[in-house]
Amino acid sequence: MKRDITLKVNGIKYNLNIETHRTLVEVLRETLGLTGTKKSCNEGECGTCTVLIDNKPAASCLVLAVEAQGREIITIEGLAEGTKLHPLQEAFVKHMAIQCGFCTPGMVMAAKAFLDENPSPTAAEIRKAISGNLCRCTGYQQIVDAVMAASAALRGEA
Amino acid sequence: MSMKKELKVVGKSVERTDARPKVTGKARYAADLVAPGMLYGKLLRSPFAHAKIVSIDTSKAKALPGVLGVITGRDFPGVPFGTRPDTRDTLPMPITKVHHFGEGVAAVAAVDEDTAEEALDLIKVEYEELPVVLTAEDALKPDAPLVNEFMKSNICYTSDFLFGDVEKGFKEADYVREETFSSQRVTVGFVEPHACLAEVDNSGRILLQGSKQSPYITWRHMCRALDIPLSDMRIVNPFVGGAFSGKHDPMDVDFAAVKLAQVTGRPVKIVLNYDEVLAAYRQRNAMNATIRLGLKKDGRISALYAENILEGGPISGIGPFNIYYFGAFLNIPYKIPAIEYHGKLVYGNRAPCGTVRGQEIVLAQFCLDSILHMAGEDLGIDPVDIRRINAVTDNWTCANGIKCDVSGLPECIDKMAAKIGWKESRVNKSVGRGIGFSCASHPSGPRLGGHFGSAVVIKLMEEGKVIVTHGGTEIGQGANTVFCQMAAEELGIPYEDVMQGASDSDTTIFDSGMFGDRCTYWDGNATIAAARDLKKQLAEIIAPELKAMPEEIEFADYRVFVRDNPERGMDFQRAVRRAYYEKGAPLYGRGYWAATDIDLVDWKTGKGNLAHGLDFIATGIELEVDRQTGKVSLLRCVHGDDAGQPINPAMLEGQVNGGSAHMTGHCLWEESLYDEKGRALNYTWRDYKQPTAVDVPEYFVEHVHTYDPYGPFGAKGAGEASSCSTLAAIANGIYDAVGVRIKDLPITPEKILATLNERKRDEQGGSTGFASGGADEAQ
Repeated sequence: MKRDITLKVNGIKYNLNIETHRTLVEVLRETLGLTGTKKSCNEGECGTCTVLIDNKPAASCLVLAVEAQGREIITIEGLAEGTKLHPLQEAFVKHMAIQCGFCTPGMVMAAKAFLDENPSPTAAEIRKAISGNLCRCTGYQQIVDAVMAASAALRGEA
Repeated sequence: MSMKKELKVVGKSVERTDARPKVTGKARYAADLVAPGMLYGKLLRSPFAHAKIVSIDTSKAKALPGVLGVITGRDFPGVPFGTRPDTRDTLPMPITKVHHFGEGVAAVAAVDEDTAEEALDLIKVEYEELPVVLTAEDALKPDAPLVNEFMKSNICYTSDFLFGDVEKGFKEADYVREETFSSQRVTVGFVEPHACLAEVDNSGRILLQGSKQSPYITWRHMCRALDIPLSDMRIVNPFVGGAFSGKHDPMDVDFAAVKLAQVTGRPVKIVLNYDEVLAAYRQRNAMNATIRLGLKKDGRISALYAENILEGGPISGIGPFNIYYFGAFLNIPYKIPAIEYHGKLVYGNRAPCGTVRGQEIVLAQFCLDSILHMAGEDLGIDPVDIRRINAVTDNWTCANGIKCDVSGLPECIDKMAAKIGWKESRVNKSVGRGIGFSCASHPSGPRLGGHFGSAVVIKLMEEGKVIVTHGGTEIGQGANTVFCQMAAEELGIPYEDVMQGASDSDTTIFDSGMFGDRCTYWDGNATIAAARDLKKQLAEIIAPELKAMPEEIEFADYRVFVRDNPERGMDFQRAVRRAYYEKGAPLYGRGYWAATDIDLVDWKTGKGNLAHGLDFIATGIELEVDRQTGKVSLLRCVHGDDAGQPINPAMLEGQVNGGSAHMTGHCLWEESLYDEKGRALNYTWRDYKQPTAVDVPEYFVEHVHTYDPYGPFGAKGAGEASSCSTLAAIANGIYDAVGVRIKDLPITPEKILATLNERKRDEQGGSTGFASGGADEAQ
């Protein structure tokens, strides 16, 4: 069964006619071409599909697109302003927190939601906040360092 | 290359070439690709681990509206492929029988994923179940069912060698210890599932864009199994979401997409869901090893004897190399004058193995370092000292012929012992806390048989920027970045002026692949050669104008000038324009490198110097064991690594951390489980847990600088050594904390608790049976 919905993604409204069973990650990637959001386990375990829904992190594989109507959806494509990276993205680049990059979009979005809630975190709090996002490459150390550095930058301390 | 000079780009932690596309979501991975008219492919998977395929009826699936193609193993020529001529034992898709749970038996292409799924339900496969071979023990029983239909026995490959006088070594030993070790099946664990997009053009030429680690290997194997010449297929690598040796060879996914594209005349994309990867794709071999070590009273090793059986699933893959590698890397990082090794790789009906980060060196060095630790304790030698006594030093030739030119290992050991606070911890030790120490070594890319080399082309653009294309593969480790650094350094131009070209078999000179820490070393040397070739061509064009001979022309600081008279020169860009506009000469630098001065190792007899650039690591880890629950908490981990001259220190740090974190899961809890019929049990990430940010310790890395005589800018290959040192470091740490020595991985809380409880019972019963004890027992 198809339904007309309006999705607001990265500040842009899209009128869509989609099957009601399609998940948000599918609609973002396949209908809107926003492939920055990744898909791997499709059951909410790996965190690669993390987006922000009303500023809260969400596994977009576990959310139906129809449920996301009327909400503010932010994906990795919505963080930078033109070529100017978000301080979190800058910190990921600077601290070598990226290797294969497949977990990076989800990791950055999870960290963004966390820092919005907790602007002065400890390393242990950062680890907990990103513990829903799997990374096999980095060992997480440089990701934790990057999020810590970004928090300082966002507080205007760096 | 042997001369040290002031470096501008190499040795600096410059930004990764791919950092921005990756952090903004613009990097395109295989699953992100689309093509006009693209169909979606899916595979039907076997519910049995071992069964005859009696019949497959695809008629109903073919009749479903929206389905454009259905294929099975019979649609392929029936030509098997394999890593070696004597191990061609793998078909694109099975024809007569299935060999493991989840093996793809048919594939469909449809207008959308839902239709493809529905079509799978309409395919009828009649199976006749066969008895399964699960373990190495099963495989070697006289009446064991035969796993692979191309082979006459379940022994897939053997490696046996004897170097030095082992008998004498044991006879002269003051102390001999023998132990058995085992290791479980673990998944590779890259986060991006297998995915590819296949197309066929008007002439029938195939284009495959897939998530491949070593596209050259995939290309050659696929062309063989499809029975087509290499020129009938082009392979282009998009961004790859991690591989760790799990994406070398072609998978049924790749074959199915190609065949469906041929059958339907439409592009076909197949993207796996991660449960498929966990159930049916590459894992690490299960290991059962026995090691006997002889030592002198002063702690020096006099001889080593080892037997090892690896069970690697129903196909050989790169397994023959693994069984040799295990034995070869018992020779290092410690000085072992005599060694005897007997290795067998056997087939079984669990998921196929390739290998995982660090290859089977990970397992070899877990065994070697663990037994050395135990022996040292019995001889009353401090764990750090026993490693220091035996550590490989400069110009050491191993018993099997592997030559170590430069070793920073002694310095790595000293520095990490200090960093982790080893001496202090012996004086003031808290209950349940422990420190584990371990060392490892890894080569900078072995020399294998067949096509083996690395090649780079540097295209000079008329604006003075260059594009580097190489056959090594960027899978996240940072290969592209280090080659761009090296090209910039050699050409004397800014790093920003060097761009990375696509990995495309039409334009890239292909390479044997990305494994064994080989790319920085091999492709790095090829990059330098290509840059020198480019400079030579440009110098020949410019020299007359500078009134000099081409050999006198130097490139540095974005200038081209006469060596002995630097004033006489010109801006690099101007020189490039001279070439393009006045001569009409497009310039391409061409370079290649292969370690032809070392030996082509015979995997069966193990003799030979297989690699240059042995890199070393010393690892210390502090951990805590909860005596009530058996849970291990990893607190802090320090690595001192000798990677020669690091090309990009911060990037290398990430490699070291990552390899170590990867193995924490292998050491403590990860395991791919099977039931008695060989069916996978925990093939979702809900049930198969990989380490998260809260599971791993805080990491610290110090690069101990040496200068490798053959490596590019003195670098060694690096990144995988930390995988090889971590298992033993954790096992030794647990022993240090609570006196429990577990030799069968993973070291789960249950195993630790069982040993602690057993000891408690013994103590309460007044038994004196418990002999060995951790440091806290000694207090």
